[in-house]
Amino acid sequence: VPERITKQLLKVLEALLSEPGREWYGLELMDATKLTSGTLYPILHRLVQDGWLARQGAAPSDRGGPGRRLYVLTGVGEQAASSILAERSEPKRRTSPRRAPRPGPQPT
Amino acid sequence: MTALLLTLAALLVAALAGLAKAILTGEIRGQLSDRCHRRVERAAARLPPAIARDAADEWHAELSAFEDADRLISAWRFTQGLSLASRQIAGAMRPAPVKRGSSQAGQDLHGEHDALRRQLRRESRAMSVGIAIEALMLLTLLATIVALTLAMVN
Repeated sequence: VPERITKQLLKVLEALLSEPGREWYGLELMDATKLTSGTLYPILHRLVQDGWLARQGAAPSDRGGPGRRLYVLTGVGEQAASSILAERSEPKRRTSPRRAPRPGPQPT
Repeated sequence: MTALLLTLAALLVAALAGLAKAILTGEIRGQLSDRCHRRVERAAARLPPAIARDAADEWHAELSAFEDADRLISAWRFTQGLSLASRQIAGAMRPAPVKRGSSQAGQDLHGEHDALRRQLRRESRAMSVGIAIEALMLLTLLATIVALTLAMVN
């Protein structure tokens, strides 16, 4: 599990889980999550390092330039992301301690 | 005769304006594209050598996709974020120091804060240049429209 679960990470996981088998370009993920490249690429890098995402090379472009990279959720990543999102969507439990009941009237 | 000459002159002006716009737009697109690709290289250079080339290739390819879709401003913004991305990725790949005092950690934070501020200032300047270029393109377009309208009226 990543060290910190941020809102941005959750956005990326939500987008990836919306179509689990899909291969995503970075640009598509930027559009889907509305995150900037400065935020998205460190997250993608971390997810690839953790084995949640697989990074694949696409075919070279028609111009002869380098091919784009594709990101796809791995089985491990899919399970982990689903459990994190399910955990987040559960309603928060009340943590405040219950008050002790007031003592009733003393018999005289 | 005078009307014919005026019409011809107006058409010539419109044609010249169109030509100027085409040259200017192409020139601006070229300049913008060059700057964006140079930024990608600079951002990738901040990464550890093991992943720098691969990241540069990926970012160049994404940038080309933006350009192919005529999303030049998005391409500009995309490259703006890359320096921050490369810095964060490089930071995450750096091994954590074994022992650090709180004063050292404070100094590190100050350094990081200053670097981020400088980066932000640079990026806002670059953003202003981008907006100025867009404004220039719009003005050129407006001038062309005015010239064409004048030509039609004449």
